Amino acid sequence: MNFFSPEFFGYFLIVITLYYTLDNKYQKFLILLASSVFIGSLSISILAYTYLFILLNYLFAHLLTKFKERPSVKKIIFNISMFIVIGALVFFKYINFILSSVIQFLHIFHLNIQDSSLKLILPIGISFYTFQSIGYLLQIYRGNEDMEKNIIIFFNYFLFFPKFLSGPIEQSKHFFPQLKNTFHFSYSNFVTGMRFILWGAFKKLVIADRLALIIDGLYPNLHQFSGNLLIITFLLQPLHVYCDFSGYTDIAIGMGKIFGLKLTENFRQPFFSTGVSDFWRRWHMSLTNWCNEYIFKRIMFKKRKWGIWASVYALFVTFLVIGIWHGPHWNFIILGILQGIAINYEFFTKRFRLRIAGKLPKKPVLYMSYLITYLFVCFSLVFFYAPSTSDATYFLSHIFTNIDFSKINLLFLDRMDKIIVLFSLLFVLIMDFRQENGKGIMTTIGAWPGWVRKAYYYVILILLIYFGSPVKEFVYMQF
Amino acid sequence: MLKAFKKFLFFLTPFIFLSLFIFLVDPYNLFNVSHIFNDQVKYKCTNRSLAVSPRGNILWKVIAFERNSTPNLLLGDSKFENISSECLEKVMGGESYNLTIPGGNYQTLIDLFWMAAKSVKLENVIIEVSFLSYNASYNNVDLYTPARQIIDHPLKYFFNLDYLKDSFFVLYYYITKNEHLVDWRSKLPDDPWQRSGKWITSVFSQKNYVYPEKYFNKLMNIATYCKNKHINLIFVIAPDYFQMHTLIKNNKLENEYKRFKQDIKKIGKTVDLDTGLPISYNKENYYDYLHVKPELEDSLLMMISPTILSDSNSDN
Repeated sequence: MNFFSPEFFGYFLIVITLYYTLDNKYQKFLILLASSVFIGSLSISILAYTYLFILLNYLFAHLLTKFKERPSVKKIIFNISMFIVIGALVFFKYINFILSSVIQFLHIFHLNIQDSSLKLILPIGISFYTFQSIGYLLQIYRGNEDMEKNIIIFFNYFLFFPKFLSGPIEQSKHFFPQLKNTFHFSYSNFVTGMRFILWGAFKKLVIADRLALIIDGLYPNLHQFSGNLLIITFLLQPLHVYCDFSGYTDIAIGMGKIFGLKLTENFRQPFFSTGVSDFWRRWHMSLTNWCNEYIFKRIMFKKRKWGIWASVYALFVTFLVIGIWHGPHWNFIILGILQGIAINYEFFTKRFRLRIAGKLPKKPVLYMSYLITYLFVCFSLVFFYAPSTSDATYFLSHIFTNIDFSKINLLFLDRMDKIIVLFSLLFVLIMDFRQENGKGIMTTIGAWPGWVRKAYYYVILILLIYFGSPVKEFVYMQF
Repeated sequence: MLKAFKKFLFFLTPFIFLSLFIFLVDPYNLFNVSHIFNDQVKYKCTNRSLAVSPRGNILWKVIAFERNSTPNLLLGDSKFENISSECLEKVMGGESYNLTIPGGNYQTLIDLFWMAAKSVKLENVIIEVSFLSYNASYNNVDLYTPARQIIDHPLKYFFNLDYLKDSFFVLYYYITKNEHLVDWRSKLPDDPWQRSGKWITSVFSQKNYVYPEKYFNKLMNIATYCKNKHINLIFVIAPDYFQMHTLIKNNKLENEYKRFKQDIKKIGKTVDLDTGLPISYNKENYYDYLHVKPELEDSLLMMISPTILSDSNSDN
């Protein structure tokens, strides 16, 4: 079952109907059951692993609470819990990368060891719920939060199916209180939820999956293409990942809303960022907030004696973690380092830049800063998409070769696709622009006259059903 | 909540009606419940244009084959698409099915072979192969997977523009009975010789001939499977118009062409009809460089004697 299969649509409607018809005391159990069925439909072994993972977390949370008056014991338990939780992530996600890197390193000393990579199935969503787990256990260890004793609620915190695959990474202090509530059907929640789902599906199926045809067609045969297609791909990549990931998040938020739960906002018009640091305050916010809370602030506090260098160091480490979080790949490490360099550059040149900007007209400076930030994101994302570092460098070094815009061929996109993508992208950017200026997308849609709203729903639905591209997996599902 | 669901359902009414329409027309007999339109009408509509024909044929034929599997099978591309079931049965000696797919490539016929092997205990299989597509960089469109997805997830049938258009087309053709609508050949803007000549030249002149090792290995697997399961397997190389060889020569692909024939003969018993048969020299026999006229296709297949077929296993 994926979010866009008719089976899932039917499943979701049945679950929602049961959710609001059953007695309130069964609602939590139904969420658990529905989430387990959904994850089980993807893979039973992944469901079993996740259950085991959550049970271990429950045990650690229990022990941390039990020994809260004995700091030394509590510290040992906490260290063991971190070793297991992070160890599991490292084992499933990074072990082969570590092994192959070590083997390559030993080759330098002429020590030839056979490649012994392990055949592992990466549990879907592991990076998302592992970060939730680390944050939660840290809060209990620090005494900031009490343990959630109700095991059903505890499971739902990790398993809630709309967010299981690709987040948002929910912070326990935000999500647990909501899970404890009982919910009554709200017509406005239902309508807003459906609007979010429609909007997310539109971004994903109509735009992202069409752009994916270009990107997926380009990278495996990178050397065959001229600068034309490289430039277009370079510029389209941020829009693709944005429509894909924010599309998923909107669907998750919409489903959450129908269940009566408010999921964390993950994107806030990232293409209207005035700098790279601003971009990261608007992009994958649940991850950056988590990293800010548990990595950046922690390092800043520990290294406070270093003065200004503490923030330089903290920034680099934080973005390195964000890079590595994406996966075991040198490209992601480079991606993280690039962000660290850019944000430190912005930090050190802030006064100078402000002084110059102060002498120039405001609007052009603003638009120029949007553009420069966007181009930097385009540049960074080459490392995100390229299958290898050499492919990324090839891409960047050949981007201006054999350019002939009279011969633009957007692989696999016919005229109709191009028109749909162009107008849809414009529509999304206009809506984002309005939101940036304080007119929320859902509020805007809600304020339209009834017939305009209905026409909008039908156009979007027709585009989704009859003009949607073949469904691709969400980009962030691999993480 | 009831109010919300009622509104929601009311809002979806047009889509429900469209789905019902697809269900009633059922252009590919996926559900095989509604028979308002007969099979002939529906099948003709799957061949209405060059663009629709590959996806339409594969879905139609896979559904039909899985519903009524036969132990004898013809696989290939458009070169043998018009071979009649009577002729097939004569050559194969029993119930047979023509599973050739216009616009199909080697991967298509490989996928279809395994699909058939899963559905029925095969006895005789004839595979028509051609040089043009024996190239790893040639048209790699995957025709089988989308068809498989529709069969495995029938709900997708209702949420696809192609099947909605197909349903309307069946209705339109049924009402108008206009044969021109379903005759893709008559709708082509240019002369078939010019068109196929241009196309072949573009495929050959790309100079990107890549030896299709993966196809060779996959065909080899099929041959091994057939040997183990005592299935008679024969490859047929259909005769192209003789000037096709000039195009091969002009594009310096003679060695590749030789290797293609060697490969096929290495894989299994091969009936090579592309050896300068008299038929190949008469333009009147051909529709274009690659295809003999539909009415002559049967006579080509008749050149395979039943004894060759039954001996194929022992000779391999």
